[in-house]
Formats: sequence, C-alpha cells, structure tokens
Amino acid sequence: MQIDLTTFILELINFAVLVWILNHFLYKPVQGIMARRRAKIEKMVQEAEAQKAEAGLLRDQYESRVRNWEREQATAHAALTKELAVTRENGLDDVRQAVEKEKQRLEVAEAKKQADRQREIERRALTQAVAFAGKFLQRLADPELDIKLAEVLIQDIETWPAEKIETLAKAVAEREGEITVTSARALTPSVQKSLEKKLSVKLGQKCKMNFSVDDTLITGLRLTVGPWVLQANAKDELAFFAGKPEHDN
Amino acid sequence: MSEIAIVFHLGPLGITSTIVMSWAIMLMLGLVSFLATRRLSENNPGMIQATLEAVVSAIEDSVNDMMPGRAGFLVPFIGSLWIFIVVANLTGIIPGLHSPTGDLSLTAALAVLVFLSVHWYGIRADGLRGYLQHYMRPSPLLFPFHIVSEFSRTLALAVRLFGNMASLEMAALLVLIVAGFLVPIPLLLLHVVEALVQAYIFGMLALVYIAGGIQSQQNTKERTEETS
Repeated sequence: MQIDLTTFILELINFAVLVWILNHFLYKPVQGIMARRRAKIEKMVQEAEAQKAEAGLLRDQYESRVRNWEREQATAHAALTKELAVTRENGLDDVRQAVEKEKQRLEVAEAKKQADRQREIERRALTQAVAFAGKFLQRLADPELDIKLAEVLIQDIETWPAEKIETLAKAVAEREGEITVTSARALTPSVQKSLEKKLSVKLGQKCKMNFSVDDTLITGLRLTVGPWVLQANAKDELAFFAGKPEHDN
Repeated sequence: MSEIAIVFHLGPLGITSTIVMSWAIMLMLGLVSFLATRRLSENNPGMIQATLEAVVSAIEDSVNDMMPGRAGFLVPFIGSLWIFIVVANLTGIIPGLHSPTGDLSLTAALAVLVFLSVHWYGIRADGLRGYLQHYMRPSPLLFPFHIVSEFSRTLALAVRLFGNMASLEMAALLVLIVAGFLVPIPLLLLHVVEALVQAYIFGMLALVYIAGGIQSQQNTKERTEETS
C-alpha cells in the first residue's frame, strides 16, 4: 500500500484525457440529440397547443355560427309558419268565397230551375186547363152564345178609347173600309147588320164587311183589319189565358 | 498486499499494470462512445442509443438534484468519475485482470482531482477571494479545522475506494484458494454490487463536496447581503 508517483501523475493525466474523450464523444452528442429532441417535442407541443387553441377558436366560431344558423332557422321557420298560416287563411278565404259563390250560384240555378219547373208546371196546367176549357166550351158552344158574344163586342165598341178608334179608322180607311169578320158559325143577318152599322158609325166611314166561318174558334168572332185583329172568341181568349200573346183587345 | 507490477518502461517512467488497464479502459470507453454516437437518431433511437441516453439522463438528473442549473459543467467530470470507476471496479471480475481501483495511486489521483475540482468550481463560482473567505466562517478559529477537513475527506475518498476494492479482490482470491472453483461465485456477485456502490459513493461524495464548496460561497454572499 504505497503510492507510485509515476502512476499517480499519469492517472491524473489519464483521467483528464478521459473526461475530454467522454465529453467529446459521449456527453455532447447525446446531450445534443436529447436537447434537439426536447426542442422538437417542445415545438410540437407548442404547435399542438397552437393548433388546440386554433381548434378551440374554430370550434367557438363554429358553435357561434351554428347558434346563428339555429336562430336564423328559427326566425325563418317562424316567418315561414306565419306566411303559411296567412297563405292558408287566404286560401281558405278564397275557398270559402268560392264555395259561397258556388252556393249562391247553385241557389240561383236551383231557384231558376225551380222557377222554370214552376213555370213549366203552370204552363202545362194552363195548357191542360185550356184544353179542358176548350173541350168544355166546345160542348157549351151554340149559335146563341155566338150572338151573345157579338152583342158583347158591339157593346165593347162603345167603350173603346178615342185613340184606338182613330188608329182603327185609319187602318180601315187604308183598306177602303174592308173588314174581315170570322165566326165559329155563320152569324145571323141581323147580327151582321148590327155589327156593320155599329162599326160604320163608330169609325165614321162605310165599312165593307166580309163574313167567313172558322169552327176552330169554338164560339164567338174575330175582326181583322190589315194587321189589326180584334178578338171576341173562345179560342183566342183561351190562348190568352194560356200565355199566347194573340190578343190585342 | 502485493506490489503493482511494472509492465514496461517508457523512458525513465515505469508503466504499471494499473496504467495499462486505465489506458485500456479509456480506449474501450472512447471507442464505444465514438461508435455508439456516430449515428444518433432524433426520431428512432435504437437500443444502444436509448441506453446511452438513459445513462446520461441519470447523471444529469443526479447532478441537477444536488446542484440545480449547474449540470452543464459538472456532468462531464462527475459522469466520467462514475463511468470510469464502475468499469474499473468491474474489471476485477474478469479472470486474469485486476481492478485499477485496487491501486492506491489511482484512487489517490482521483481523490486529488476531486480535491482540486472542489476548489476550481468554488473559485469559478465566486472568485478566489470570495472562495477563500469561507474558510474564516463562521470564525477564523475554525480555519485549521477546515484545512484538516479538506485533506482528511480527500484521504478518506482515496482510501475508501482502494480499501474496498483491494479487499474484495483479496477475499475472492483467498476463498478461491481455500474452497475451490465454484464457491467464490456469490462473492463475485457481491463484487458487482460493491463495484456499483463504491462508484456511486465516490461520485456522489465528489458531487457533495463540489456542491458544498459552491453553496458555501452562496451562503457567504447571502449573509454579506443580509448584513449590508
């Protein structure tokens, strides 16, 4: 157990050299690579944190945008619902109005149809009544009734208004006093003379009477002066009641 | 205790087996370091690189635990102490070789280096005047005790490592002579443990002494600032 000075000194140098060797070939390269890796990891961590922050920002923006979208969607939905309600209400009003119009139109059509039907029924009833009355009068008609009707006509001539008499006189004058008298049966001469005399006096001119027979008149007579027709018979009266405008009397 | 044999002479200098073993260890460590650190990868470290990084990280962490923020200039010295002493201690297990740490000349050299590094790092931290002032603290009367303490702990460092490793080798040799071929195996396992423990103790004590030198300056400085 003694110290060799040469060994002691050489070991001092050896260890100093070893420190340099290890520092140069071991510590520096390994510490360098570790420092670079640490820096790289720190950089990655910083980048990750930056990305995380950016992602958080984007997430906030996205959430804000989603909230805005939801608000806009709710507003649009409310507006659309309101518009749909208004449109539906307008549509319903239109439909109601159309239904009401259609209803009124149908009511009018139905009323018209009812009136037509009523008129048709009345017409048929009148036609039947006229036919019945015609057949009934055919059974009652006789020369005496013809004479009575002629007398009634003669009496009615007295009550004609002046304008009618004047117009009739003008028409008779244009045909040189010619008046056609049609009866259901031949009139008696006395009746013919009474009628001629009455007309001549009333019209103020000589009347030329042409008497003829038409058994379709049932009973009574008809005076024809050009376009003028004076009716005093059952056929024309029944036709008047049936609604045929053939009576100018 | 046998004399350390001189292997050859280099001029007037007698080169002992301790120096040869030291050179061999230095060569091996240098070669291994050079070859292992040629192709370091940042992204895909291999098994060797991972082992090296683990070793260097462990050294850095130990230094940082003791002296936070001063790993940069303490790691080369303390790390080299640990690595060299571990390898040197374990060399004794190989048949035909002996641990260079079983030579008092080498352990004394290492202890002197620690002694010098304590003062070097202390002076570097706060200057020569400031460093020397701490020997007068807390009282100038304690100056001789500081001096004795410096030398005694250096001597203890050298003798502790030398005594443990030399005695282990001697014990293994005696057991081998007395008991036979396979009996010393448990002792060899003890040798491995002892080699690691002694290396750790030596390096850690060196670190503690250096830290004490630096921190004593800081304490002195803080006290001066407080009184002013």
